[in-house]
Amino acid sequence: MSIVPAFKLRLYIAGHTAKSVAAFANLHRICETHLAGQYTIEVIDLREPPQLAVGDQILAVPTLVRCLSEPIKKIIGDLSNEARVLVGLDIKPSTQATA
Amino acid sequence: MKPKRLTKAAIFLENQDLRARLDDVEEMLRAIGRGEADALVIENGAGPKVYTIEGDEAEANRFRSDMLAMVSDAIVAVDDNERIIYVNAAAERLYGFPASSALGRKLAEIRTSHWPSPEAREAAVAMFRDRGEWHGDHVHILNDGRIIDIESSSTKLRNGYGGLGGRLSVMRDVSARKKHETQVAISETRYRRLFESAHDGILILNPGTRKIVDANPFMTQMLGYSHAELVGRELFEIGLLKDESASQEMFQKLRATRAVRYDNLPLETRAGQHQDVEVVANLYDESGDPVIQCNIRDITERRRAEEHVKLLMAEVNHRAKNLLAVVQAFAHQTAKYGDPANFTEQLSDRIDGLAAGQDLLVRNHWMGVDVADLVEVQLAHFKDLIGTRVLIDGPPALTLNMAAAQGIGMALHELATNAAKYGALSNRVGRVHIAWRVTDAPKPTFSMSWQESGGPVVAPPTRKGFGQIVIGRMAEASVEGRAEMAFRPSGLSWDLSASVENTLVSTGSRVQMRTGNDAR
Amino acid sequence: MTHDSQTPRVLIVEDEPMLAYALEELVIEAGFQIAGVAGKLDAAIEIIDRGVCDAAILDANLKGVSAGPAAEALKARGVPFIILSGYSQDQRHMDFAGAIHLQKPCRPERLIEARRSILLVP
Repeated sequence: MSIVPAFKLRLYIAGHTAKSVAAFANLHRICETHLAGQYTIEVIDLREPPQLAVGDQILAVPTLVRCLSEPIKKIIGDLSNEARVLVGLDIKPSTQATA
Repeated sequence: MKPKRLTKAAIFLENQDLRARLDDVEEMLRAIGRGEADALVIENGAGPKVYTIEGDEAEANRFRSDMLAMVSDAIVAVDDNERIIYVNAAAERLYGFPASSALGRKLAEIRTSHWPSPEAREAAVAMFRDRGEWHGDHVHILNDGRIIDIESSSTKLRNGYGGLGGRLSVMRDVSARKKHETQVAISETRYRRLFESAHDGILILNPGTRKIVDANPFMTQMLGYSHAELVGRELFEIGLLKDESASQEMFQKLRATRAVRYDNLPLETRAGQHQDVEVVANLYDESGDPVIQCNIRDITERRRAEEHVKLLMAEVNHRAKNLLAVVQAFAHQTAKYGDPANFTEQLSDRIDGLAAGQDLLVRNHWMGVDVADLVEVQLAHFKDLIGTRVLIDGPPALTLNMAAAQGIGMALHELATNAAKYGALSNRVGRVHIAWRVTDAPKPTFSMSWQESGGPVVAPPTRKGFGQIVIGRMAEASVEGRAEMAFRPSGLSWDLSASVENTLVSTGSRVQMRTGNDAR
Repeated sequence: MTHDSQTPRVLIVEDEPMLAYALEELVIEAGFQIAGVAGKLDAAIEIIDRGVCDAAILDANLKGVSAGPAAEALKARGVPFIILSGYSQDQRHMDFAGAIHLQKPCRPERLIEARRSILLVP
């Protein structure tokens, strides 16, 4: 039985570009720090196949999409500003988020 | 165009959607403004298309990334917190982690570095800090327990990857190479040991210069030259081949057939001693370079053994022929003195006696024959009478030498034959008393006697038969002693005495095999 | 044994008593005199040195000792001799070069024939 994670995140990148790599590194660090064990990250490279961008209406990369929980939220950029990411994803930095 | 009529709810939803799109665009613009976006995704009729927005530098970065992804060496970049910010395909394979699960993790979570010593680690850290790069070998222990040898090259990341400080490492798995190197080292050690401890001389030669490249310790011992003295010399200079032309001939042969063997070469040591050696030379390819290996075996011992065998063969041949000559003489004498009607019987009987003595000698490895054993075999026909009518009386463990064994054996045989025909063993009551002893005064003497009694009345024979010659002068000659016969009416008596020296073998000493010069 | 200055005297050097005796018989039967019978090298040389033999029959091997020195002594005195040995040709010693070799066992007639040839008697 797998437990459905509280945070289902999708990171859109375009190849191993500097911003994409940085965005991933930052995202991973933030999640490990604040959401350990409660998240999944799906990395989608838009170069192949780009059609994947349609559903989430991606305008630029890197873009982080919070698919779960509702509402869907998007953050564009390399996620280097941790505070802004936490706000954007509705994560309370002081306590562990609940499902 | 007339605006479409919408319900209040639909207007609300559309408004919300537009609001969200606007937020997205605002977010995008902010990101571009902060320089955090790489590319724009523009929808057109064919679907979304990615447009990079950072110009040449971004393209160059991408190109660099693609290159890194394709190289066969593992590439890992970490930020200043040791978090993995980049892994290429080779690194995924090396560590067994997909990039998506490796990214963001601490490097230490996917592998442990093992250093030969803490000092080595400190030195690497210091060098990286001071010079911004480090190159060296270390060992990685992976989470699945695999241990891999890594050849690594690390560079400081100064301003790439979103401004993060960090490190880019290019790693090559050299486990297979290390393993091979270890195997080569083991093999090298093994063969070295063999080379060092071989009881054959081994010389390694350069086919081009014909000079010695290496020599094992046994070779240096054999020749009396030191290793340094051997290296750089040619074979003829160390007395292995006669001269330069012999040497050239050997190398020509080697080139033609790749192997040359000399069964027996005279070798002259530094001290001028001659030694017989067997030389086997082989031409090998050592990773493309031809080398010659000569195995040189000292065959002095083997030759000595061969000589010894030859000598023994000659000796056996000599003895066999001597024995045949004795048989021939027997036949001649038997024919001359004996009754022609009984010739075959008499001759066969004598040959039997000779053969019985010979058997004893062979059984004792030519080490002589015990007196009691000799008496027993020569009186084998009267085995049942021994202890009653045939009394045997003498000390044990006296060993007759070969000549004495043959002479006394033949005499006993003749005495027994005579006793059975005419003497004490020709009737039902006569007795024979056989005795021998060793006395010390005046000098060590071996004596043996044969006394008959109770037989028919004895008269001295009218003519001397061959039997008398055998028990008389022939027995005397075999021990260089004296034999006396008396034909008393009560029975025949025979006494033989000779020096112990000419008769007996001192116990335990081996009868000397002939090693005379005449056999050479 | 009669001593007749006309009859050649033969020395027998043989360590095998049976053979020495057989040779002696043969030599006498063939009409020669016996100069002596020796089973050992020193005894043989002593007889040779007395100068009483006109010919000799030598066993090449006397209980492991080569009869070579006896052959040398005979050669030095110009006394012809026959070598009898159990060894085949290639095993023989150089000291006996030039002498007549007979291999044991040999037929008595061959021996007498050889004897006559060395003594130049018919």
